[in-house]
Amino acid sequence: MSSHDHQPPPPAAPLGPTAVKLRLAMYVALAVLVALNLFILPHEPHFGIDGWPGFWAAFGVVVAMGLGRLAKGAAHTFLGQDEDFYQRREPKPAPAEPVAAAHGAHGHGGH
Amino acid sequence: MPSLGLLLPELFQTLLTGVLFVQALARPRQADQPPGPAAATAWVPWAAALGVAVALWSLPARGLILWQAYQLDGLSQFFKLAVAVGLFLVTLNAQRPAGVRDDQRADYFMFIALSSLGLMLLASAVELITVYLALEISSYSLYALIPLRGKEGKAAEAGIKYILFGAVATALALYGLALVLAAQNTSYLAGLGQRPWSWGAAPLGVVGISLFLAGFFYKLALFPFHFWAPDVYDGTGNQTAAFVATMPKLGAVVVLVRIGALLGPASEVTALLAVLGALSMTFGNLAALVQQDLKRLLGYSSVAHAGYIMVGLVACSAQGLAAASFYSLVYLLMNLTAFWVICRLAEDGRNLVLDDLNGLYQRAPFLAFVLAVAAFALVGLPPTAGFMGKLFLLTSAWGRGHDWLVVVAALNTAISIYYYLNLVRHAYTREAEAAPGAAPVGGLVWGGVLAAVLLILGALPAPVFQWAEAAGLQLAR
Amino acid sequence: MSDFLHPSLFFLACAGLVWLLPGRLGRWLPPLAGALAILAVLSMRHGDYAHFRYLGLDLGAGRVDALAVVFAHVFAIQALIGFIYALHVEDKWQHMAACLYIAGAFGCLFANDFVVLFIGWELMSVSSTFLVWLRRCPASTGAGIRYFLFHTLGGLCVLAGLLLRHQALGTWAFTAIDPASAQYFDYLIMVGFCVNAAVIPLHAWLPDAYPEATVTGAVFMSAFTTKTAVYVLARGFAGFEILGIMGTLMTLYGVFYATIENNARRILAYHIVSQVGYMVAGIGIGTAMTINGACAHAYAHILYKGLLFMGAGALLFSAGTAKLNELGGLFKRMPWVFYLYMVAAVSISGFPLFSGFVSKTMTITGAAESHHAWLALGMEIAAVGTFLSVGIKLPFFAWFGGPDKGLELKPVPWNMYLGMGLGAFLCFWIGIQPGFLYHLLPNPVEYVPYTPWHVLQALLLLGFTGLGFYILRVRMTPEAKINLDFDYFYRLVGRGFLAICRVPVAALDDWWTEFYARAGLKGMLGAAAVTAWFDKAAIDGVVDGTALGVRRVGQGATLAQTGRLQDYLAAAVVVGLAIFALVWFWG
Repeated sequence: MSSHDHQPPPPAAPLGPTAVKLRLAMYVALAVLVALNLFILPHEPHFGIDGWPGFWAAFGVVVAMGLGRLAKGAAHTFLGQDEDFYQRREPKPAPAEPVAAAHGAHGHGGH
Repeated sequence: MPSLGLLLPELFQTLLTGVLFVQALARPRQADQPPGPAAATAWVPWAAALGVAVALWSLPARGLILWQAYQLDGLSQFFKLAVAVGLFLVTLNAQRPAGVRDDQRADYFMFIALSSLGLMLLASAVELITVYLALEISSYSLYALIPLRGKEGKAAEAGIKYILFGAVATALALYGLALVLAAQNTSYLAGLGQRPWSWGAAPLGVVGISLFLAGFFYKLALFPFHFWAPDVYDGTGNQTAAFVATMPKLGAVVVLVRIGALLGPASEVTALLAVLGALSMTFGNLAALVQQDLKRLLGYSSVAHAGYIMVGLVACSAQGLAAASFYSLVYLLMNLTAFWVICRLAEDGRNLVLDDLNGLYQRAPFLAFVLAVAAFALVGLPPTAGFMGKLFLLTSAWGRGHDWLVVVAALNTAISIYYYLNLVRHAYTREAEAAPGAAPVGGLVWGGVLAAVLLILGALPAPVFQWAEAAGLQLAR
Repeated sequence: MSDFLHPSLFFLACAGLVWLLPGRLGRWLPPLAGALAILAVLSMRHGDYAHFRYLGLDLGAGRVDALAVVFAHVFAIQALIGFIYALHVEDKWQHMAACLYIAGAFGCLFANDFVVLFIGWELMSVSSTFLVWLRRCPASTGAGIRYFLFHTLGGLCVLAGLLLRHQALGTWAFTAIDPASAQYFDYLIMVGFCVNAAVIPLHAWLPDAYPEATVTGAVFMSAFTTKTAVYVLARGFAGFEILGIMGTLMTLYGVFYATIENNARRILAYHIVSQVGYMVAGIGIGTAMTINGACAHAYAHILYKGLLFMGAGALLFSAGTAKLNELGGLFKRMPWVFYLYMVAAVSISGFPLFSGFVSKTMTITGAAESHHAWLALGMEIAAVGTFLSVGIKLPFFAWFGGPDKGLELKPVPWNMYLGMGLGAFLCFWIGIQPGFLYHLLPNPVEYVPYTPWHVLQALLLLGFTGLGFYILRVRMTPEAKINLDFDYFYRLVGRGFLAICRVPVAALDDWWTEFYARAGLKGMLGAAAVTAWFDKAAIDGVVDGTALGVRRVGQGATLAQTGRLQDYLAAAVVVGLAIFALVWFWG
């Protein structure tokens, strides 16, 4: 059972002044790390290509975005359900039978 | 000269009695002055605890001393330890015995200690006259204690009944002793073990030993020598009843175990024990069903338990004798736990009835729990020690020629469930009618310890039972 | 005796005392038990202790070696931290449940044979169920029942396996099982262990129950159930290939779901699946370095996961909800919880200077060096996902991500801050002093964490993951939804079983109603009346009558107690003689 139609996400809210400064700091730091990656490299790369400069940077951003897209895609198609999904599927309890007055009329298969 | 180290528990007990005697000699003060030294008895339980340690220390003591009338073996030391433990618990329970004046307290404890000394002597006595003397020592002390309950007429009446009934029972025992001497020409148990005990070979001996045992049936409250038990428990003070209901039975059981070891499983005397046991348990359980007074109920229940112990004795095997010894120890603990709760609840020392237990789980939930454990143990439900004890008794007796007795015992356990669980029902499901009194807080620790011991002994009976079994093996060779 | 004092004893005694004391007083005892347990663990020496006989079996409850000690070390520390965090709780049943739970965990750690292990296992299972139920709300009740059923199933697998193993091999001893010669019963035990280790597809109880547990209970549960399972797998099943594969799948599966969940504690719960996957994979690979890595990771994980749950628990306690779509903008009002949470978040992500860095990379390097390149790659992917979901998404949407929604916040008690502070300190301490952790590990450590390349690689990976989140930040906004997981199948099985029971009865009922209505009501009613009369008068009469009759006989028996001494004496003598005579002449 699919959830609501998937609409394109609304545009991001504009960033405040401190957030803009932080974003700039983040870009600078990432650039510094990539620059360092040109000089500091592993001795024994595990997969071969992970010894190339910039591999891990690309790996981080590609995998993060891929995971985010894939996971959210799955969530929006078949995984995500309303919060009371399981409660709606629970069987309703049987209505209470009136209890026989005497000590059990044995003729009726009791249930 | 026998080594005094063998007699450490008895000597300690004598010392304790002596100190209490001296303390009791202090002149009674006038009514408006503070109580004298005779009232300072708070040290007695700690001395009794030291006595437990002494008895533990003396567990491996072995020997046959005093002209071969006094034997120390596994059985005697086990029972001396049981008596010491019982004394500790009883004196702890009876710290402020209701109805006993302050200046009488030292006397009170002295008699209890003296009676326990008699029981210890009884555990080791292997010659009939010595047995009789020890029996008398332990009984006479009690004669003085029973009426001690303030100015209550019922207590005095209980005392008279106990004395006179006891007198008749011990007279019968002495008569039987004489017949045994005549028939078997020896009063030493070792010698008696070599003699025949069948109706055809020694009719006078059979009659004699049966009469001799009557004295012990009286102490054990076995049907039909039990009639004193409900009235005496009812009339005497709660703390005294705790003592009378538990400790003398130990003495009776040890003598019955020794004598039972000399008789074979097919002997008439064993058949007699079986019949009396069956009647006792049935009668005790049936009569207890309608009781309202708690001490009377426990009195009848002790009649029933005396019957259960007989099941172990008629098996006449090491397992059976061990089971009887183990069960007597467990019975001591279960009954003392029940009396513990009763004494804590009845602050003014009055007799409690079933309705006094109503709403106990709200007033004092921990005490209600302790009572429940004691009730379950008395029924014989797992995981308590009572279940283990009954299990050992019934399995030891099966296949030894008295299977009908095992069946009767099982049926009786079913009957007894009603009145024991009635206690639990009153405590847990009934609401207290009047505004409940202040919840008793004292004694929670030791009550908890007793309940814990019952549960632990139910889960891990092996160490204690193995002691009893080793003792039984020594006898039933 | 000073060589070994079983820490379980402290917790069992504490549980007993907490039961007796009122909640206000008793809550001070569990931290004391935790402190004593730490002392006990620090002072214990390797060896085999605590042998005893029970039910005719020779059992051992005190096997102490490096593998047990590293887990015991952190269990004791986390017990102390967790109980400090829980000091404000006055419900003594929660404390008792936690104490028994931890006692069971220690029992499993030091168990020398499967019987003692099973006792500890079941104790943990039952007491942790109470940590869920004691939240006392309908969702928790349902979750607790499912949790309990599933864990009982796992426990039965273990029981069946260990009994069959004993029958086949004749021993109860709990030792390493050789993968080459493992039998079906060994696999059965492994399945039982994997339930507690939340190996997929047996994991769904974890994200189902942990978010519904009490605020403080979840902190305990996050540490002990899964890590005890990791320990027993490390002890018994090291080197099983299947565990390596399943472990790597777990790491990916866990972060996948963590990325899309809304409830903060459910994110963390799926995270546990992921992180335990690292440990299970390390155990599956089975080399010295990966076993070391698994143990190191378990150690660090208990501390930082506990801190994460403490932080999320503080959010739940204070704001009343753990759902990210209902939180947001709380930074100004709860800054310290945020800072302490972030210490754990960077630890779990593997930032240099924190504990995850010195433990996680050891496992990955071990995997790569033993030629399991695909596993190493999977673990690196999971590392990205970890930082993405736990390190960025959760704190961003809880403390930032929009204006403050104006939720009313209960003040967070001092003891929660203290607990979190201790956890944070330890995460940092292990990060800068890795030798503290390394010297506890079972195998010698040849791994150096702080090399320039390791630090740079970690920073690159994590920094660019952050960039990825920034780009996708709107898409990642949590929505008020749940995600289906394997528990869909568990519930299907449960409902199917109920339906199978119900359907025949329903069919029978329909048929019977037809027959009843058609085949003569009068006759039926008459027969019913007859049977009712028979039941009441005859059967009940017999049963009640027997009982009453016995009672009346009992009453009759008491007639003999006339109160008169002469009657007693006469009765005693006459009846006694009569019995004697009967026995002698008839017997």
